[in-house]
Amino acid sequence: MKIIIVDDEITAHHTFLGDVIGKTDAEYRFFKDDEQEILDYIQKNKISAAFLDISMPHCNGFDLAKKIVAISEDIRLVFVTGQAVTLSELDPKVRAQTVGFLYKPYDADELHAILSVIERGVQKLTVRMFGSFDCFVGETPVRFSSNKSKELFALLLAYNGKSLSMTDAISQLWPDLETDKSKILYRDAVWRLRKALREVGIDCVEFARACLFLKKEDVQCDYWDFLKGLPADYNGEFCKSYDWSIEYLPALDRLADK
Amino acid sequence: MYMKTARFVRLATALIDAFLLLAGSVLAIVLSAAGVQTDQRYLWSTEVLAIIGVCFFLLFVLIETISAFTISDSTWHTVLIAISLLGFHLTGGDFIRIMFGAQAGIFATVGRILNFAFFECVFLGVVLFWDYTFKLGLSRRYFVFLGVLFALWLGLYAALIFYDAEIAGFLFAALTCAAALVYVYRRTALSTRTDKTFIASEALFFSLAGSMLSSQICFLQNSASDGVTAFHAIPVILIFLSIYAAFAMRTDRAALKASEYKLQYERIKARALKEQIKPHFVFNVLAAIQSLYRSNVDEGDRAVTLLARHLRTNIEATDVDFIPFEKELDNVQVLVDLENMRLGKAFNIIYDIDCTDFAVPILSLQPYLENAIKYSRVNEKEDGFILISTRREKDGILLVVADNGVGFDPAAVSASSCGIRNSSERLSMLMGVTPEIESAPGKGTTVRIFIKNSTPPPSFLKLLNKEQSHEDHHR
Repeated sequence: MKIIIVDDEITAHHTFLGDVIGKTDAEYRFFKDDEQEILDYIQKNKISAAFLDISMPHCNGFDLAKKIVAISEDIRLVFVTGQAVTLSELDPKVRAQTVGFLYKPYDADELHAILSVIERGVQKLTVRMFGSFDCFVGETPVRFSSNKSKELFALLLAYNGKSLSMTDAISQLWPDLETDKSKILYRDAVWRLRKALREVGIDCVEFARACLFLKKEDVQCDYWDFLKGLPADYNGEFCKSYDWSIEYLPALDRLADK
Repeated sequence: MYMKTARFVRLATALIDAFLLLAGSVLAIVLSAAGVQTDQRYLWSTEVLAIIGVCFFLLFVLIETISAFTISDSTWHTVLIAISLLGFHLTGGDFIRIMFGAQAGIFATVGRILNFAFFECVFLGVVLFWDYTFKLGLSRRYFVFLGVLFALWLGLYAALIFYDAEIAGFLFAALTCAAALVYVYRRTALSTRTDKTFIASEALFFSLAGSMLSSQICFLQNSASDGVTAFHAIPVILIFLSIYAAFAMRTDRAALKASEYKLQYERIKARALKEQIKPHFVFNVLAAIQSLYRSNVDEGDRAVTLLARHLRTNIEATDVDFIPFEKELDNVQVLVDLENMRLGKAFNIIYDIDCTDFAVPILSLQPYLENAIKYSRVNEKEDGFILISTRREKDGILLVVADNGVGFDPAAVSASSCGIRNSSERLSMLMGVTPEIESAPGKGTTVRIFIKNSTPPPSFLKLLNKEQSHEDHHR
């Protein structure tokens, strides 16, 4: 995968970008805002994506994008900016090839997310339930802002496609609390789960009133694989440290013995 | 309450209409009865009146046409009304007499038919105008049906004129108009919008109909309907002039009020922005980032991202007024994350969010959070929390920011922080909302903001990323 990065102040963030992109298997090349040189390079090479700064002294990122999409319909575009820009401000042709916006200063996680979109197309969520519970997009772990929201997501995944009602979730996650309090905490966890998934651009949960559904297509989960009989390294531990997970162990052990 | 007033206004309007119909008829009957006696003095005055009337209507046609092209408020509906009225006067008995003398013969007959046709056009124009102004959404079928009926009555009128029985055609047309009016009335009752233009254009039509009716009744036996159209012109001209005057005054007053309002709002907002960018906070955070980098590079990166987001929001606030609530919550979370990073002892925020499909003035929620972070000391408490909740209620949305911290005595702390004062000023100006702050020492603090349904923000305000916030809605 080849990437070009266009910015008038290359030295300023050469190290950071190089550091992050260097960890992936992408080849990258920096360009100053010399339009002709960039367009020539794109014509001669097969480029997967171009990261374009918007305000540069010698050329404007938006105009450059128009010229780039005229050359190649496969190239993905990422706009790098200091200020907020929205998709609607873009030329329709450019918009179709834009995968995202990066705000300066760069956020390593966002950059990883965008790189994985460029590389793999649709993002997939990888879930590890054996051992302790964790979720990843590419190599990046999903950051949940509270433990309970993470636990709620684990429970939803353990339900394996069945809908998870609020009452069920509360009885498993907050068994000892009074109803009013637990409902508030449930809603807090739901909100944080929503935020966490949105942050990584994964849309796999349908948030209905007092009920959660999981869309299984974009999720790859070791527990589900194991249930289907696919190879998975189950070692007697399932969602370690969540109380409700114990109930799942006997069935898993039986399956492992077979 | 409003419905009652609206109903009263509508009843009063109907009564005034009936009165105008009656007055128009009586005036026309009295004056034209005098005219029938071929009083020379009287005839002279009706001729002058007829010419003045035609001049005015020519002027109105001109004004309406120009304004239809220049002011979006005025449209071809009013041009149609003005042209029809002009036609109505040019073909009225009085003008015909000026043009062709007392024994106009065939011209008088053609004039009467055209006169009737223009009468129908005025009615159609008025209904079209109502449909447009009050967004009645009358169907095309409705107008086609009316048009066909009117054509029929016109034919009947023309056919019967030679038998001096044209009143039959007129009566059918009058019945059609009445039925159409009842229909329109019912629609306006639904839209609860009654204003001066509606009443005035109604009055215009009714005085017209009154004078027509009386002329038909009075001159069953006499082909000359002297003085009717000329005198009828007086109320119609007055109505037009008063509409123009009201329009000019209204736009002037509204423009003045809006610009004052805008100025005041800009002042408040400028102050909010000045207060929001707190240099000491930024430098404290930078210092915290400096030490974070020495211990953990990834944490340092994260902190830089947070600070950048926080600053970006503050900069965005300079050209945005409203922001989707969910975005404001994101901003609040960034602030809390920064504070948690800086203070070490984390604040526990609980989100009890029932709905997010509304907008708030940008940076209007932050001051309440800042206050809670500064004074509540919930992060030192075992089960301390700050609760942000939204709840949809019957007539609005209740937004609550509460903490179970140390609280304060509202009487002792005058008007609390600048940020809070400024936020409540903007909330009340832009949304008509007054935040209620309830606090007592040892009991924590609760801020309640009730956002009523249907409080449309002033049009000069800008909402941030409208389409972006919509695309995110999964519910």
